[in-house]
Amino acid sequence: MDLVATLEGKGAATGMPNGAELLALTDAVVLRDFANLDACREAVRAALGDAGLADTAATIGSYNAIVKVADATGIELDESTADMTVDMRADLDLVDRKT
Amino acid sequence: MTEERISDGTRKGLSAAMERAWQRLARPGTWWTGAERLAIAAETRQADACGLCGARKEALSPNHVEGRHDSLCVLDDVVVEAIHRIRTDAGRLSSGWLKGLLEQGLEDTHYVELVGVVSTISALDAVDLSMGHQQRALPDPVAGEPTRHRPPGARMGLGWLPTLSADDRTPQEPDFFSKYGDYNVQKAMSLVPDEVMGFFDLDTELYFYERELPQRAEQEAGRAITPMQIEMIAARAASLNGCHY
Repeated sequence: MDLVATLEGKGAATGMPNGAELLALTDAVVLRDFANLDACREAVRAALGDAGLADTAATIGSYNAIVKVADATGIELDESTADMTVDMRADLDLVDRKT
Repeated sequence: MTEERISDGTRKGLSAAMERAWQRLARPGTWWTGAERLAIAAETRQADACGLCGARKEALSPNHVEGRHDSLCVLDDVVVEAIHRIRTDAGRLSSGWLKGLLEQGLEDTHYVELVGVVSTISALDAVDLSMGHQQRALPDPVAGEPTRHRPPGARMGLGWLPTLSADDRTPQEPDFFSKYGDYNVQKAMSLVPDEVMGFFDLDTELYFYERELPQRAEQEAGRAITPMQIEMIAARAASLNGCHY
């Protein structure tokens, strides 16, 4: 998976099967893009079926919530996770959070 | 092994977890009554239509924009500020912002439970929106008093609020460490242990249990999209939400 393409929402460039459809629906829901939401949803359903759509919806739901828990409490990455992702975070030009 | 699903494709386990989450929203919590928890949930939805939140979201810094929230006028202003900012701009919250709320009289325990309620309704509504379901009406409140249990072992050291470590847990607190893991994200709301239990009862069905837990492999095998596709969606949604974790 191309992580930069993922974070930038360039679904077709992620290298993932159905990346374009999955990220388009993610964007439409999180950004509340009601003009495109129905089309994005049906594209995922056409590609992955009802079960695929439901598991996509669940993941979007989770990451519309867990991020709020983390950001509203100011927790930092666990040491083990931080150690494992040093190179990845450097590639993405992420810096430590300032509180 | 593929999980059993209901008619719209949702896994049965997830469907049941979402139903439990809806019921939890309406029940007395640890610091808020059922009616208050539902008022927080309603105000969370209201934040999406708030002009002040919209203007702050567009601004270079949310502190550059002053004004009053377009609220439902049910909860105190300090509570409304907490709800609206967590819902609409969580990625730019700071310890200074939280300190200001606490100085205005919002208790840290009440704040943590509020975080759980805002996050839960945000998850449930996002699933319905993704699926094309109508936004569900909030349930009727369940009468009763909050339990008001503050873990005596909670202390500062992780994030902006007191948290509980496994070593400091007493028998009065549920063992969410064994059930859900002990990463920082599980500890984040541990000042209110029941909120941790409730939130992760839902989140482990929406997403996964932590990798070290035995349920994880079965979960991955039961999904209709691959774990990598799930991580891709998660990364993009976290990025759009400005998550710094």
